[in-house]
Amino acid sequence: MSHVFGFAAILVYVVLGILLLRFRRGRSPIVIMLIASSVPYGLFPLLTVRLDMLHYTATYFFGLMCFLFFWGGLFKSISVRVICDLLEEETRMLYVRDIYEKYLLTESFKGRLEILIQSNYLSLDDNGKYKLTGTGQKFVRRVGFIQKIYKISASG
Amino acid sequence: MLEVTARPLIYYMMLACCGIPLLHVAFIRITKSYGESARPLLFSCAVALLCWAVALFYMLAVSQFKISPNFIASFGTSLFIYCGFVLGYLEFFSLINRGYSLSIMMDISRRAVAPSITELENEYAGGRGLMWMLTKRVNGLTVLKLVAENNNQLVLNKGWPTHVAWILHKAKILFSIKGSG
Repeated sequence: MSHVFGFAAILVYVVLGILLLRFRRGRSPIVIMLIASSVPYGLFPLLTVRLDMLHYTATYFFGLMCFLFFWGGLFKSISVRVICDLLEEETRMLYVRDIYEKYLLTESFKGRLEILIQSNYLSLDDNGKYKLTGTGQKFVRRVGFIQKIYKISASG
Repeated sequence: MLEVTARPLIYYMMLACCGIPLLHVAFIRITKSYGESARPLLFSCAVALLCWAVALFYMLAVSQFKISPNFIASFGTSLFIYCGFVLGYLEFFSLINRGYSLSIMMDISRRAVAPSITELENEYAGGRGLMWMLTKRVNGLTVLKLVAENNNQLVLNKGWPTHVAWILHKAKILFSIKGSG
């Protein structure tokens, strides 16, 4: 029964996520989805006393990971973006150069740089040069350490 | 007939999951492969599951047991924990390994002089360039047979790839995702 409640909580989470994302008004979708995940999880144990928390938590954790994996792909994957752009074209065809210039360089690459500046990881000086801020340097050091452990030479 | 205390089954799985990152690093070091390769990751996930299966078999072989609903529930919970952990770990590793924003930051940190946007574009991912990243993604889609590439034109394949694209497109509308990537 606890598994059923776990799946029900996930269903509530997905519906809640859809609603909250519609009325987010510029707030970060990732933050919204992470905060929203705690609401259904806490709700179901209040509704029933016969709940094995271990079974319930494991089921909810599994459902949450599946959903975030799918949603994260939809939200950030470049491959998904390319496929959806192809679908929107009447001929179902796009030039690789057009994808690169119109989407990847103009929209995506510059968009990411803008997000990194807003998140205080990067700063842009008057000469148009990008520098890491103190927060950015700390973050890069931590990730660099993890990449060294996994022997990752260059990400991307 | 004794009923096997089912809880240890779940605890063994938690232990096996904790071992996945350790096994992953160990396999990379032992096989002298690079983190970019998917093999050590898949292999460590498989070994962790195998270890748990051995523990399960040991439990069943040593104890006289009956398969109770409690046992089945614990078995299911263990698999949920495993799948959830593997998905989370894949997401984490993909971020470390293929992170787009992360790669931009790493490129800036490697340079002695602060780069401009053109320099960042040309030297993305340790000098490979931004086009390399798109080519890598396009190659992935081609291998999956979702798209075909002809004379620098990318075409969405007919049949199931179009259905997949339609589902993704509708899901993006449902979750109010504009643009993305």
